[in-house]
Amino acid sequence: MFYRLYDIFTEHPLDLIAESISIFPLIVGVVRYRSLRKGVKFLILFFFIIIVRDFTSNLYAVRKVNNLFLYNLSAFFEVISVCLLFRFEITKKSTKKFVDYGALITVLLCVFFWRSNELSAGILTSSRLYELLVVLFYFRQLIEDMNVKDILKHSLFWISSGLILQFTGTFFVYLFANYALSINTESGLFNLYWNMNQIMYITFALFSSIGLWVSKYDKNNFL
Amino acid sequence: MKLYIAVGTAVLLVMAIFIIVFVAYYQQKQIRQQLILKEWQEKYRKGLLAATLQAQEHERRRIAQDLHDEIGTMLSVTKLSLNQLGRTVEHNDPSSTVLVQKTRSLLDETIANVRRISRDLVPTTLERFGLVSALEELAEKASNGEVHVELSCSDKLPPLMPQLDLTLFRIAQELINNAIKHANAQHIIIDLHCQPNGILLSVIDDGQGFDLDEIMKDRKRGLGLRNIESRLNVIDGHVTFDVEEGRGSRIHIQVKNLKPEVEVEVEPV
Ligand SMILES: Nc1ncnc2c1ncn2[C@@H]1O[C@H](COP(=O)(O)OP(=O)(O)OP(=O)(O)O)[C@@H](O)[C@H]1O
Ligand SMILES: [Mg+2]
Repeated sequence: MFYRLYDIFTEHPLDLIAESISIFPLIVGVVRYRSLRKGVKFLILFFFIIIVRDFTSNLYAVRKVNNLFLYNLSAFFEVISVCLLFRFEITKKSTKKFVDYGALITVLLCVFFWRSNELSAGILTSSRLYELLVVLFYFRQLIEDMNVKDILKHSLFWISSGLILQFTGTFFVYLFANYALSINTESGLFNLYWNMNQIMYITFALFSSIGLWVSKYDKNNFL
Repeated sequence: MKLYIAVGTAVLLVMAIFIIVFVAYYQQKQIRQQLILKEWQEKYRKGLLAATLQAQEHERRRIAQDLHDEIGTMLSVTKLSLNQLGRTVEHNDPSSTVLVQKTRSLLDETIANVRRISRDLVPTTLERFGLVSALEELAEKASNGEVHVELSCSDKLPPLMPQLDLTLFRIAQELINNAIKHANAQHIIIDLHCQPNGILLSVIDDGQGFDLDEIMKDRKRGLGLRNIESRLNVIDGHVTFDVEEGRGSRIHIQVKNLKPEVEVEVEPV
């Protein structure tokens, strides 16, 4: 079994990095747990889910079972996490409503687009779109409210930046998942897109780690 | 298709980076301006407060001077003529002597009161002999059969910043007044302590204490504690209320004393 795993990781070295990097924000989050803002605490849960997902997906890969549905499944958790992450931070009532109902609608859409044997472009795109909008709303609020003293020490700024980079970097790949990441895609191309996906995830995990790390400044960083 | 994905991703990524940099840059720039404005407002507010307090002291000094110079003088003159009147009356109508004597003692009492009030309005001892002497005098005056006020000052005070001694004195005055008026205390300790570049003044009583949150919520409460806060605001001081219902109160005042002052200006009354 380990030989098989070894084979997979030597074939896709980026996967090894991407899958182990999740430990990073998880540890930082646990270390900083007491200074985390309410919503940010859900980020730890999110990374935990990712770790579980990657572990399960490796297990399936070793057993040569199709594991792509796990990524569809994790999009659900992603939507819910992003909703929980931002809904406590957003002050405007109407935007908060959008965040809440948007999450609900996106989850329903994801159910509608469900695929159990391949990556679903519908799920991945709609979830990304929702998350992108939420982050943009949050950025707008940051600029409008002007209540963060030093934005480089603001945990949610880093997390949002990581999210937005990940979404934009993978949006087109997911939009054309039927072409780019399907079972029929030739393996060289598949690997290219998959690696892109992993690189963006690594970026997100690193940005999140920074965000979780600077959360200790959050308490005194508001006007 | 490959091209679409590559170009689309590149465009989106560039946009994302642009948005992030823009948000960070714009936010930082605006906030800097806002902080400067806030600082400025704070400074202005403090200046206003300081001016108000100073005006108050000026007014007190003026009233004290008027009382002393005008009413006091008039009363002295009145006493003089009463004495003359007394001598005349003693000759002609000995039965009125008692009345004259009564008037004289009333007049004496009034003169003493005017002197006391004008002296209380302006802390002369503070200006002449410094904070420790003034607090000693305050403790002595406040002590009587029921209350014992004690000053404990461990070390020699460094030269104080202007206004600092007056602020500390007024605060001590109010705290002792409170302890006598509200706490039913029997023993009050004024503790003056030097700290590295600061002074710690504590007023400790053994009275009944009070619930600070409740007092702070009360809209109709007195001005004493509020005045203490605004006085401290001007000189960047801190007050800590170590209070609780059912036990004596401990109130600590912490002030910075960075620039040593040269000489206290003496303005006689
Ligand atoms: N040392 C103390 N012990 C018990 N209660 C106190 C003490 N100091 C203050 N208090 C309570 O706090 C309240 C507010 O005090 P504060 O000095 O602000 O107003 P005041 O003394 O009632 O009026 P003023 O000081 O304006 O003459 C008092 O009414 C009293 O109930
Ligand atoms: Mg009072």
